[in-house]
Amino acid sequence: MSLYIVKRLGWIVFNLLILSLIAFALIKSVPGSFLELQMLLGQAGTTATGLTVSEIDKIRGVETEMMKRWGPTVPLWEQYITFIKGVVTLNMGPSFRWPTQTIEEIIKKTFPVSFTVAILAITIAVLIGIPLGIIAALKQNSWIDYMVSALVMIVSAIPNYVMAVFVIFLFSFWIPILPTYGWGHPKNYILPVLAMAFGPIGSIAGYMRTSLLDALKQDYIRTAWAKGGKERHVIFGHAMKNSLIPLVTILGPMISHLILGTVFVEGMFGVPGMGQYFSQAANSRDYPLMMAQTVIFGLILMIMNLVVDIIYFFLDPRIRVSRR
Amino acid sequence: MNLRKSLTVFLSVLILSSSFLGIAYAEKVFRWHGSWGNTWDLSFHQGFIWVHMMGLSEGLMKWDKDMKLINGMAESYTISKDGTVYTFKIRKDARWSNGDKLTAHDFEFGIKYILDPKNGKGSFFGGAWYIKNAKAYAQSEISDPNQVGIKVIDDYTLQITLDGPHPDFLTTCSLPTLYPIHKASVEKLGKKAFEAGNLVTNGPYRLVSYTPNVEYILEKNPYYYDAEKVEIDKIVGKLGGDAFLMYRRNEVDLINVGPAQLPVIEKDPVMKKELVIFPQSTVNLAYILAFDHPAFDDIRVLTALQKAIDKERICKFVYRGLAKPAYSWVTDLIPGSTANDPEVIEKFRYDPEAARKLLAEAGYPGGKGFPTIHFLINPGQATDPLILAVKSEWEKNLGIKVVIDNLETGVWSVRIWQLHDEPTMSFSGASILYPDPAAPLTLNYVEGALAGSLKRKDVVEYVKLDIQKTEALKAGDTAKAAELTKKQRDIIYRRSTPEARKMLSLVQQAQKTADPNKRLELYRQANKIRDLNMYSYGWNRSFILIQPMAARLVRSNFEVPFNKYLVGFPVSFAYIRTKE
Repeated sequence: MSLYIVKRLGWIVFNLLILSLIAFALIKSVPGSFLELQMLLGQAGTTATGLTVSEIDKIRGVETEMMKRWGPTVPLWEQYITFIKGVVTLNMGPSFRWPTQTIEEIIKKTFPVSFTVAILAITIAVLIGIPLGIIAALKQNSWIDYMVSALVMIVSAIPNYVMAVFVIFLFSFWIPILPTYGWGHPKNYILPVLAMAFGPIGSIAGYMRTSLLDALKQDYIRTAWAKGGKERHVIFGHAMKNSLIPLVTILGPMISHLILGTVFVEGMFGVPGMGQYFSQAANSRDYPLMMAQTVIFGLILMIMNLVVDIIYFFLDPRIRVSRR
Repeated sequence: MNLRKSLTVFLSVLILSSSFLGIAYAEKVFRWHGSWGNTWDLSFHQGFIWVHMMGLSEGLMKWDKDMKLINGMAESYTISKDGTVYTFKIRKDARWSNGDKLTAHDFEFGIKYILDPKNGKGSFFGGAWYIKNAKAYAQSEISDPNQVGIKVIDDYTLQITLDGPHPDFLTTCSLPTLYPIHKASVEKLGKKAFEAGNLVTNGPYRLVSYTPNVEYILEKNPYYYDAEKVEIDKIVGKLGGDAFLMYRRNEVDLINVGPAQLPVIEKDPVMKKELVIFPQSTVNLAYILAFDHPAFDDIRVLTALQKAIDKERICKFVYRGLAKPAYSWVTDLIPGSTANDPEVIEKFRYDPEAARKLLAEAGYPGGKGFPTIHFLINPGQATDPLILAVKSEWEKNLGIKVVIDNLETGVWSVRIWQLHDEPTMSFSGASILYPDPAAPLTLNYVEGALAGSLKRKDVVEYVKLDIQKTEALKAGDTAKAAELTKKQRDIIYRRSTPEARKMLSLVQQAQKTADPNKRLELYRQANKIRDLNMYSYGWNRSFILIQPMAARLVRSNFEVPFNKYLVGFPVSFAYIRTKE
């Protein structure tokens, strides 16, 4: 097992290098630069003809810290190597858009927030989604099953920013018990977590239902019934354990997506997480932050997949046996 | 009276008086939504410079509630006879928010910090450009900051030498590019000096906390020289979320309102009462990008395009009253505006018939043979109904074709600067920050306008010189770079259109004129020339909602003229309400 983990970690490093190289090439080939955007948006038409702006831009090109790493006078290969060195030594330099903060500081501040919100959302999704899926599977083809399936479909289809508006109206206006915006108090977590949990509730309930139905059709379950097993024992003692395994597969990527895919929800509720920073980075061509984002997202996804594989190893004895 | 009764009376009095005192000394908090920024570093234009202006920092000069320029950190000043040397005496009771004394060294440091090319790309240079060698230093044409015309005579005396007489320089001393920066903090902490927790400022407020994308909190600065007059104890600025929902939930006291919210407000009698409207000095306009086409050299075409737009209808129905029809690019709030010039109004009055006639006379009857006009917009402008309205008016009234190119922001930022084969325009708003005729027509702006009138071959030559300059700077040859810059200026000044050069000449004359009436007239004539190349539609009006409780704190300042000059930030001087 240890050897397996070491091998996987090695592959992760290799894959991240490839990912960072592809991301760098794509980011650098996209038109527009941070400086052009800032001068343009800052001057808003006063030098719309642009020539004076580009003059200033080029003259200043060599001076600042950000330009020393990413400026037009620095060769592309050197920019990439500097970035990789920065990742390894945790010295990725300042963000363009947030110039008094380094990338590491931004991540240090925002990652725990995004991670906490994502974990809380997944926890709620699991606590609600699994029972819903079980009920739907056990009452297959009944009105309960249809109702749960319809609910699952609806919440899965509604984007989380629409859900955010819904929960605001529900808990800030119709039943005014929670604030619409703000951070720093435990009650500020409730609405953003709810908004983000609905989608996963739908996915988890759907998977649980399908997986349990599949497990209940297996021979070993028929054997358990034939041996006189009680319903609770057969379902929760045998079927449930095996039907949870496929669910583990989706939870890992789900957590990754929740950590980084929360831009709208963060913006609506004032959550100081990673999502808003990274979305703004793309719009403003904040290269350091865009590169860091890509590497982090890739890392989180790969680590989550590794964790899922490790959990599989312990959950499914067939995998342990096959590894011998 | 027995003991129990006495105790009851005593406790009742104690509780009542505590409540009374609690009410009397309840912290006054003002919460508002808006004023986004990403850094508190004054050298960054995209930073929180607006919040600095509103209460964190104070310059040598400031405005009172009647829009009169008064002394700020300077207790007095003298101006040399030729109008180029300003000597300021800094007030001796001026303190930073950490208690340190504020001196002339902090002003020298602050101005040079903002100009330093190693720092932020602040485009908000305003009056700093008037200072001798300031522009050259900021643009790396000289490397020694001591050559910039700022001198500390002693701890409380600052001398600033300009490159010529600029009557509006004192006004610009109230703007952020001439603010002081706490030298000791920056020398000790570098860029970290501008983070919440470290930031030291000299205005009526100080920054106590800041969560990016979420909110910032300001509290009264106890060391401010006029601290006893500052009434609001705390200001909370919200940076995200749905402002309208937050207002309705009473989580903020003041928000700006857009066209989408107006119908809801009009139906709500309570919110209707809470709505405050006042004019602003921002104009919504379309501007011409770099292209060569003979059609746009013809004044009949330019006039036809102006006359084909029904501004009254656009402002009434498209903007729902959030803008007033504009017949000049500078609003009537600014001296030197041509807004009330009957000739200008008549020239740009909506008259589709006259517009079609002019276009026909220019050789494009019914729009036949007229080139396609492209509107380059970014996603932030995609939902602006004005752009569709202008397209519709030109197509309907003139029979010309207009195409909207909706581009991703980065792509848009590149295409904006390119040379186009067909007439291309983009849309923006232009804000004038203070009521002086020089404010809209800074030299920087005028040079940009000159450059915009160049023909294609001149633009290509200009850009070639640019590339050579970059190579020279890479090689460390600043002398060659300076020589190439001169050649570029030559192109702009000699090969731009006669009208553009006339505008420059008028501005240059105005800058040297001491007679205020003559100066005003010169700027007015320059504005008249500029009007033809700018397609102005509406002068913004601010529609804000303010909670009644908060209004009592700030309402008396809302209609002050100053608020018209800050785009969407109507809380300046809200903190200073003289206790009467």
